[in-house]
Amino acid sequence: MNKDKSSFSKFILNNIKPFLMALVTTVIVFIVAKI
Amino acid sequence: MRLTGEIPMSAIDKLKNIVNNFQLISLLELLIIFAVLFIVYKILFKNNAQKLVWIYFAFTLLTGVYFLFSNIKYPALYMLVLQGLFIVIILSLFATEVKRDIWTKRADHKHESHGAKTDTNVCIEEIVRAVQNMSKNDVGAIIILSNNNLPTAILESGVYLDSTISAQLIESIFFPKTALHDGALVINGSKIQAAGCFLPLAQEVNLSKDLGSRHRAGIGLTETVNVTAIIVSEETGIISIAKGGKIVRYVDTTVLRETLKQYYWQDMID
Repeated sequence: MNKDKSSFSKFILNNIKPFLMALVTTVIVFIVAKI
Repeated sequence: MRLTGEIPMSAIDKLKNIVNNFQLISLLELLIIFAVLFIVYKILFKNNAQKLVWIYFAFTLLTGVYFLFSNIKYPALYMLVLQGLFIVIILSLFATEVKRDIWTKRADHKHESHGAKTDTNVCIEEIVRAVQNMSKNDVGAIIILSNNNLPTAILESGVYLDSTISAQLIESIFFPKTALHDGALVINGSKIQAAGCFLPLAQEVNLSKDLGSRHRAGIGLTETVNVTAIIVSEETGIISIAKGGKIVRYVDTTVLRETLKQYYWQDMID
């Protein structure tokens, strides 16, 4: 259980930064493409 | 004087316009852009190119905000040109790294994860002990702390070991006149991945004359691949650490331990 939790938090730590950055960039690119 | 007679839209109007004209197909567009960007970011993050991601992110953010507030006629076109230019500049600046990542297959060996903290501490202590002993006995050694990012060609030039880290094994490998003592030992996580590996030498001519081929190999490798090299001089027993093409000489145990901690700590959050 503890191991599961740590691997889950590791997964989140690994992916949260690229996820958020990709999200913001997507929104910007989309807005610029549509204006 | 405006020929079209249009009143320039404010940024808020533009955003409102986008929200009002949002269609289901736009969602698909968003998803595709997001997927591509996420995959590219993930690859760059995995290859330790965080700075590049941040630069690209800031670049897109700034140009995006600029286009939103300016009244240029075809912002998407300008954005496309700017992004293209950015990619061309990056590709020409980091040609070696990009070529390396595209053309060299990465080692198949999966990175070992370090579950327990004690495992990491044992690895650190074993490496420190081996390096200390070799330094004391003037045994030349070069240890590469890899992040599973060494080109396969380097690993294949040596012998795959995939064994647990132990001071005795490291010392035995570097014992003079043994078959593997001349090459580099590659540590990947909590395993000794390979030994006797041949490395590219540094081409720089301004290096100090008392740096032997081991030091040159360490510098040469770390300037192209994001790894750390620990080098023990055969003549003097001096411990050096090479990183990013720079070498720090006369390293004591504290600095060595700190470097190893950094390596394993980074490994744990990767």
